[in-house]
Amino acid sequence: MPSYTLSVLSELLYDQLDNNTGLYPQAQITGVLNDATRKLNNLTGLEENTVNVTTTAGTLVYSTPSGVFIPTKLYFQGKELQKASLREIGTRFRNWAIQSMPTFGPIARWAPIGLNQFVIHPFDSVGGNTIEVQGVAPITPMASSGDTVTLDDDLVPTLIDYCRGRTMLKIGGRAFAGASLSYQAFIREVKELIPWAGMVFPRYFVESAQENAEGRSAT
Amino acid sequence: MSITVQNIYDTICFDLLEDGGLVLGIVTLQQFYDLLNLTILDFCKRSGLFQRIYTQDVIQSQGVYSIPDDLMEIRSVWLAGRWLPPATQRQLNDAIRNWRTITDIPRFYYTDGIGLSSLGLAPAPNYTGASIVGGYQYDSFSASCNPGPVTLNPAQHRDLTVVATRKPTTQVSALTDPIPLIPDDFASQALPFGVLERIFSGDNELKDEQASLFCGAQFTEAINVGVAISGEPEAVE
Repeated sequence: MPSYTLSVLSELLYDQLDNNTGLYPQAQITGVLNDATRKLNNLTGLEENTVNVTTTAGTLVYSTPSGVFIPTKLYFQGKELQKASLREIGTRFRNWAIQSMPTFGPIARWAPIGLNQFVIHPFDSVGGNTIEVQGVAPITPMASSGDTVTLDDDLVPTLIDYCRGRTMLKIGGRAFAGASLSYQAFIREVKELIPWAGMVFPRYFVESAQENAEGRSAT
Repeated sequence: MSITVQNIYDTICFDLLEDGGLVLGIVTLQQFYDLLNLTILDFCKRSGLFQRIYTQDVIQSQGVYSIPDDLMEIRSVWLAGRWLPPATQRQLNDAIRNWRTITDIPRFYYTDGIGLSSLGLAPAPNYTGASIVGGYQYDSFSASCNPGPVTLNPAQHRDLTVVATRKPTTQVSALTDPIPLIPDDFASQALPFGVLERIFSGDNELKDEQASLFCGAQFTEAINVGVAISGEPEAVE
């Protein structure tokens, strides 16, 4: 995927904002672009990474390794482990906490405990084996004009359009209401790319009364 | 480098047309801290992204146990490695005769009618079970919290284990404070919207229904990503 510098993305966004650097200072633009990229990363897993974890004898609960922010897939001996909730594992295998590998077969499933930990079943009674943890890597925010972020070309116009609406939140009124509809287009585009089962997007609409509303005045 | 309260503050100042800082008095710095603390708590509670496993001894004939202050919403309870279903006291009255007075292997847990930060086992256990290593707690953020060899000997595993949503143990009160619990990738793009939604929907000069709707949708979206990641079906539209 191509890389975009902060400078290029800022220019694209300023083009949409009539190059109004007085109302929209660079610090704000940088913040909006970074936050939008992080939003996109959380939603779609833009930045991926795989990190190995070595099993410890008798350990059920492992910490998510650094370098992975949201674990998405786990592999053991080349096979993808089934992702389940802890509750599903607990109700399906009543003695799950005392079922170990190799007696109960190889590690077959995992369950996240929030972001920072995960449980494996059956656990490894010997230790020293490798679990590959694949997941979303955290985004390094852009700070100077040459800093880059990797983005799909097709997504850039939608992202910039969303950023325009987001930035114009400060002026409110009709102009913001109109621009904020870009959030709907953003959702439509991103929906197809989401790896999270069960993700529900909130409804967003613009009240017709708001289309004629006055903006907030700059003081 | 982790983000601080200052980063959230700067974002909000831009959005309130007070680029240099909150000086107009419509929203004061203290109000900002209060709203941010509320938003952090709300995000932790609703997203389910921050959970902790806590293990403790069970004591013969003791039905009610306290849970640590940094846990708020119980997600699942395990006794001797077995999942315990939740129940209300009313359901227990129908399910187990004299459950308040007898002792046996607990079959359910309940949290209603016993106060906050407490958990009840029904019926009360008829045995005393040592926790894994003297009732310690384990947590991914501390090296000393390695879960260790917990289940090699099932006889050692007669303890009570609780998985619960974490809440911050400290409140932010200065711009230099770090954001508790929430990692940068969620904090920077979700928390400003939670604070702004409250400001724009408040009874003040900044009241703006459309801006409040927009910020509310963004904040809810971030929560719903958390719900989807943690695999718990609580997302809202």
